[in-house]
Amino acid sequence: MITFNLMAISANAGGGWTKEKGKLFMKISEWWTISDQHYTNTGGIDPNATRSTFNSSIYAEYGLTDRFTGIVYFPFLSRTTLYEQRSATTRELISEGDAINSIGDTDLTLKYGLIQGKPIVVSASLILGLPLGNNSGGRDGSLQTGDGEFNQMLQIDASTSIKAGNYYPWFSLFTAFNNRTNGYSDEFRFGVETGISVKKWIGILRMTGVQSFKNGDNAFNAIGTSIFANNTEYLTFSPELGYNFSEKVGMSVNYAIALSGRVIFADPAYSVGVYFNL
Amino acid sequence: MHQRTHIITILSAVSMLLTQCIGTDFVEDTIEERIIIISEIDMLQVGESYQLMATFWDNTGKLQEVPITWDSSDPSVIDVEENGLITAYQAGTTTITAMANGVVEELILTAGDSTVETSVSQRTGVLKTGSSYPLDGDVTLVDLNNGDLRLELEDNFNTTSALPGLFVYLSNNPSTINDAYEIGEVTQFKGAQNYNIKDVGLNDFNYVLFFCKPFRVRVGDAELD
Repeated sequence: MITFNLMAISANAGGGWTKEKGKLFMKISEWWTISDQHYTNTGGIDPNATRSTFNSSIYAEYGLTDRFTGIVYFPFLSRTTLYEQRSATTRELISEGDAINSIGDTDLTLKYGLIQGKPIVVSASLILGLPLGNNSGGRDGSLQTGDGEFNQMLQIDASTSIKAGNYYPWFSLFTAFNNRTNGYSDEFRFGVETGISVKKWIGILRMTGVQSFKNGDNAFNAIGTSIFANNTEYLTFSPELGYNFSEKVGMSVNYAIALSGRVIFADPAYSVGVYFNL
Repeated sequence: MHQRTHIITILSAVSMLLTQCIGTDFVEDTIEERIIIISEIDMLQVGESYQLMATFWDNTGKLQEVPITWDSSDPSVIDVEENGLITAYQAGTTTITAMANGVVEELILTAGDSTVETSVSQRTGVLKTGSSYPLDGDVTLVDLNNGDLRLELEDNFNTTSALPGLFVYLSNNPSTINDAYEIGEVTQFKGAQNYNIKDVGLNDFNYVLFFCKPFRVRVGDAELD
């Protein structure tokens, strides 16, 4: 499960750069989405009973060496809810709501700087998605804080920064192959990012995409058709704004919306976070 | 340190707020009220009587006990009493109406030299999608005459396997599975198939409804004739 990571990580050294040895970047975030509609398997948008997911998480990057960076994404509290349904005509209860709380699927990453100290830096990452969340919670097993599968993703990032007057905007792109298990289809992932720091402010724009190889089980009976669905595809746009209170502490807000998709929620996701450079 | 404390407090409060609520969806489930006249004859022999029945379904598809007002357009052919009992007096054709809560239903009956029964042993419908998901084909609800029914999806049945937990129901409201009868999970997404239904009458429900049960996504329905 790496979907949350793509939506939650922000305002960090990221991209093709690695952390200096002994340096730590840490971020505590709240990410959430509330959705009453979804992209169907043909790309249309249909309604569904409202579901919400809230993730409280810790994200940390640590420079093991100047070239090796260890990264952890750990949702220490993940809550998923299903709204109750009532008749609009009589207000009678049609179906009860439901909710589960647990830790969520966790990502462990080892990042290696292939090319560092050059105008264009490149890194490779091995990301392990640990299924620590609940993939069949609630009364009917349809509430999830994880997808129940162990996946391994290999990602290549390339970044550069240019001088524009007194500013140094950066540009990054990545591509990745996500090997999934338990009947889930493998995925091709890609993205671009650009950002700039102006005084204490940081502005970032991202586009990320996922393409499914559709090589998973045909009759995929797992209930997940939310963010943990099979054969999910999407292209998201995500602007982020950060503010550095000091060299060591800052805060960011992030908004993400799927511009197109298949088998994924069709409502925005939001996050707020506090980050520390130590 | 003061700033950091404020930030952590704000984040904690936001986290607590955001983790509280199970909200409410209101389902637009208003449908037209309707009366169904239950009759198993096409023609009534002159001099004979027959008991008509009528059921009233409210604006959410629930069966309601309400007073039914009966009338005949030509009582000299077939007259109808307050309780729905009809008597044929001479050969001819008349329209019997049942009315309740401003809703009217009509039945055309003929009086002649014999009573001709209709053997209503099945009802049919045509599936139509109400979503972006494909759903089409013909359905037949067959009375097995032992208290059970059989739902037959014809060879032209087609839907999608993309939705997890696609179930088929008998319902009186095409917008919701509230008070619906769950027939079972769809495991074959194309072609002819049958589902046996126990202890349900042929006229107990008026729609065949396809619904993604876990995500409460309405796929489509067929209204039975």
